[in-house]
Amino acid sequence: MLWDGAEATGKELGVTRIPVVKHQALPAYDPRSVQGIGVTYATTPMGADHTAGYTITANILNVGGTVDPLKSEGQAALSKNLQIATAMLDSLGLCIFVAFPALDIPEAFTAIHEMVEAHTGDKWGADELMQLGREVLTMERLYNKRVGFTAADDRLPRFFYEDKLPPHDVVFSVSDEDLDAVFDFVDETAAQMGLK
Amino acid sequence: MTVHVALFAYLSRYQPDGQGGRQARPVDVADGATVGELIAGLGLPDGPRAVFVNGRHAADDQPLSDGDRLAIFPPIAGG
Repeated sequence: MLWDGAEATGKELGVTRIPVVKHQALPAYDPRSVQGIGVTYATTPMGADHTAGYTITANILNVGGTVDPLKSEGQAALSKNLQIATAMLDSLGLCIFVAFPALDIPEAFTAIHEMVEAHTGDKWGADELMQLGREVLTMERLYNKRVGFTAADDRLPRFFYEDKLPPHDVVFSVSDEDLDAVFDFVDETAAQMGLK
Repeated sequence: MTVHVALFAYLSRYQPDGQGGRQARPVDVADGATVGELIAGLGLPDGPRAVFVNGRHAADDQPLSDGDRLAIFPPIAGG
C-alpha cells in the first residue's frame, strides 16, 4: 500500500488529515510555522515541493532578506520570486544550493549570467534570466490548466487552516487572494511567448 | 539564572561541557544577560548564524529570562 503514496495510503486507512497538494506529499517543513513554504507547496505547478521556492531562506535563515515565518504578510511575493529564480536555476542545470550565495552576494549572480553568456554567446542580464524563469513556470502552469487543474488545486489541505500548531499555536493564514496572485505574470508571459 | 542552550552542527563543539551533541544544556548567566552576552561567553566563532529564543528569531540585544531556550545553528539547508 505504501508505494501508492501518501494520499492513496491515507485514503485506504481512513485518515482525514492527508498532507498533500496536487496529490504530492508535503516535505519536512510545516507550512504553519513557515508560512512562505506553505505558499510554495500550494502553488508550485509540480505539487508540494520545498525546493520549488525555498522560503526557509528569508523565513528562517535570514538569507536574502527577512520575512516573519508566522505571519501572512510578504509570503506570496517571497515565494513567487524564489519560484521564478529556482525555475531559472533548474533550467540552467544549476543546483538549488547556488541560490544561497546568489541571494546575498552580487558577484555570485553576476557569475551566473556571465557563465550563460560564455555558453550561449548571447548577452544575458538579470532581467533575461528572470524572464527565463517566468517562461518555464508559464509553460508548467499552462500544462496544468490544460490537464484540468484550477485555482482550487492551489490550496493546502483544510486542516492546516484549522488545527493550531504548537508551540506558537498558529494556523496557515495566507489568503486565497494572495495565493492566486503568485502566478499573476502567466497571461502576460504567455502572450510574449505567443502561447495561449 | 539558567538558560538552556542548544548548539547545532559544527557549533555543538562550543558547548561549555565540551561534549558536543545537539541536546540543550543548562548554562548559568547573570540576571538580565542578553543573547549577545551569552554567545560571547560561549566563544562562538564569527560568522552567519540563525539565533532563536523559545523558537523565535532573536537579536543580540534581546534580554534573556530564566528558563529560556536558546538555539543557534549555522545557515544550513536540506534539499
